[in-house]
Amino acid sequence: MMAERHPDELTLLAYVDGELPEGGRRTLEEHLESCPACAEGVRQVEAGRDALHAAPLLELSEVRRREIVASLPERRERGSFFAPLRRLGPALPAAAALLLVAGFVALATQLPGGGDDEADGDEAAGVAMEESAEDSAEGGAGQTERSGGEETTEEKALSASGELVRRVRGPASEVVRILRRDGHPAFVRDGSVVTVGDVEEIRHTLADRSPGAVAVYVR
Amino acid sequence: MDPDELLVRRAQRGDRFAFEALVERHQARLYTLAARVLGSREDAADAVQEALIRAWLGLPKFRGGARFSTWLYRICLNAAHDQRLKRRVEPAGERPEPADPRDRFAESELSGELQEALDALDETFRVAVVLSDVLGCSYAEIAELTGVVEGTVKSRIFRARNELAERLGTTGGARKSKE
Repeated sequence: MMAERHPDELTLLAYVDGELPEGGRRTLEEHLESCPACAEGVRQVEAGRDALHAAPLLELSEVRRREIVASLPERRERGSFFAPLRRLGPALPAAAALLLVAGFVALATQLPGGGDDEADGDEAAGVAMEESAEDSAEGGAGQTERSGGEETTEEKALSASGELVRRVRGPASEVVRILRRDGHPAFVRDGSVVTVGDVEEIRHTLADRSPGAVAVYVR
Repeated sequence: MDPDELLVRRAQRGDRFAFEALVERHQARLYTLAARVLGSREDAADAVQEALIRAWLGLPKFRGGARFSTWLYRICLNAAHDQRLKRRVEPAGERPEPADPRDRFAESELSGELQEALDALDETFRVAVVLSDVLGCSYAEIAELTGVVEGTVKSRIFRARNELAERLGTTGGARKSKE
């Protein structure tokens, strides 16, 4: 069969990588003996790979390394639920008592909760927020943050214009949550995300987000 | 277990020495990634600097869902992308003469025909093939890093290797079309 039909590129790649099972490998090798085009294709792929394998790693100069380490800024603990508490140090018990009282008062008077603190709440509960592994819902970008109602004047103004800073992996609601966690107001509009703040800070916030279909605009 | 795990935990708690150890461990791979993708020693160094600052600031958010090196590569690729956009707006000025031998080596590597062939590739192909064949990332890792499925990664790598060989003329034979 293989002699009549050319193997596809994934099969050839698996062969070059040595990942083709024994049976498939033998069949392919028989085909290669009688098909100069595929044999040449395999040689090309091997040659391309070998050229890169032979390429050495490059090193930053000593001066540049020192500059980089020296340029690391002080880190403020953004977005951590416990960070402000840690800074209280010895005053922590008193602060905890105060929080407890405040919680009772809030419950008693049925004050509305802060919806934007969802991410922080997850962190406090020890839920991993790292988006790489968990965020497999690439196709589920249809969610919207708003539960209903008209767009506010503020949102209209925000989305009127903005700089496209990056296209990242969705869903858009997750991107919004990440931005809000770092203190940037954000919302979903027509499948894109609109946010406010310093462009560099937004880039920092999305620094480890994979590329994807969700456009992020900053005003 | 991720070999970086202990250092990462310490760096997350604010230990700059632990982070410096991580920088030392990963700088060559990050720099190579940025340099091969951008094709410029200076732009690559700027991108790595930016990536490491972002990594340092973002480290408390890192939860270990991915390997630390994968997380770093992703930040580095994003920083390289931003550096490329920045360079379109502000073209590079005169480049300083390399003083360190490592800089001179990088300069000569990046002006060679391999880099020329890499530069001629589509950026998505270039990123995939550098991650795979220079840094040794697995196809699954590259899929995670670039936000595409593994089949797409393999296809990009196949075509990238093919194009590279053609441009470098390393196989000798003319390409024959399949029927």
